[in-house]
Amino acid sequence: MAETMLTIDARGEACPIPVVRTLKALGALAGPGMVETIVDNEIAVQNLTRMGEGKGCAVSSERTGEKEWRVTVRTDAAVAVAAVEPEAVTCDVPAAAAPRNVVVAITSECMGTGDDVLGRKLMGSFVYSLTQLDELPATVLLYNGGAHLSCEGSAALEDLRGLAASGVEVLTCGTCLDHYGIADTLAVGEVTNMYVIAQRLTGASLVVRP
Amino acid sequence: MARVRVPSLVVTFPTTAAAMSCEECCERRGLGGRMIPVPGEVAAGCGLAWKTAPEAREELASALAADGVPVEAMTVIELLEFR
Repeated sequence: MAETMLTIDARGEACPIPVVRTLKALGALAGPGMVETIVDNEIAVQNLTRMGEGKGCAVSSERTGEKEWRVTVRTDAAVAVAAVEPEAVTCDVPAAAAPRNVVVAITSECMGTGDDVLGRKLMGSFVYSLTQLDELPATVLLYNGGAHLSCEGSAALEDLRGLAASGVEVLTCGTCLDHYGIADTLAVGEVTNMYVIAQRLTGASLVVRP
Repeated sequence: MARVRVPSLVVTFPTTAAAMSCEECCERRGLGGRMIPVPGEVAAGCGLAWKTAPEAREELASALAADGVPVEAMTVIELLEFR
């Protein structure tokens, strides 16, 4: 007797629909057979594989196109499938890669405490290291002693200029520039105020304070 | 402005003090370069290194030797630069 085979085209359907339809098809077989489900993403392949193996079936999958996979679930016996409601099926759905909004808050000329000469070298190294990251931060905030870094004479100026020219927002606290009497020497980025600083810090997905 | 990988000479030192002496030596002699953290491609661990153009190797080596600055290694690797 020929093996019963059902084919489901679940392309364009979000989890858990491909799993639900495949489960229903397995139940409809009412005996040995196979269900081939066509999907358009690898997560659906994983979820179908997990479901099929959980039902004691043999599962294989093959990539058949740039965005096409065929998952075959084969069973030697009737598969018991209760009434399937989509809400009852759980799928692993990867969290969407949320856009990162990394804010670097530089609050001092020195990185760490102990030896200020070393601390300045470390801060210079840190700012340089930002330029080597695969993903640049969205914003560099400079306040209190950190305001010196964006002014003439700073060893970090070249790196901050490169970051700014690459789209990184470089903001220096205006109150701090005035306090230190260095407002005329700001050499990179924009002057900002505490409202913007508060907005950037609270709106960040990650705040890095070296 | 784009970031491009540029061959760079990276000089490492046995101590942080030696790295700082290198910076002082180069500034005094008007030699180009800058301090950077030791890149992971050069050595594991933490430390400061001197980065300059590969063609500056001989002049830099002579200057450091003359000033008695101990050098651990000189390596050419590609580092990102803004261009």
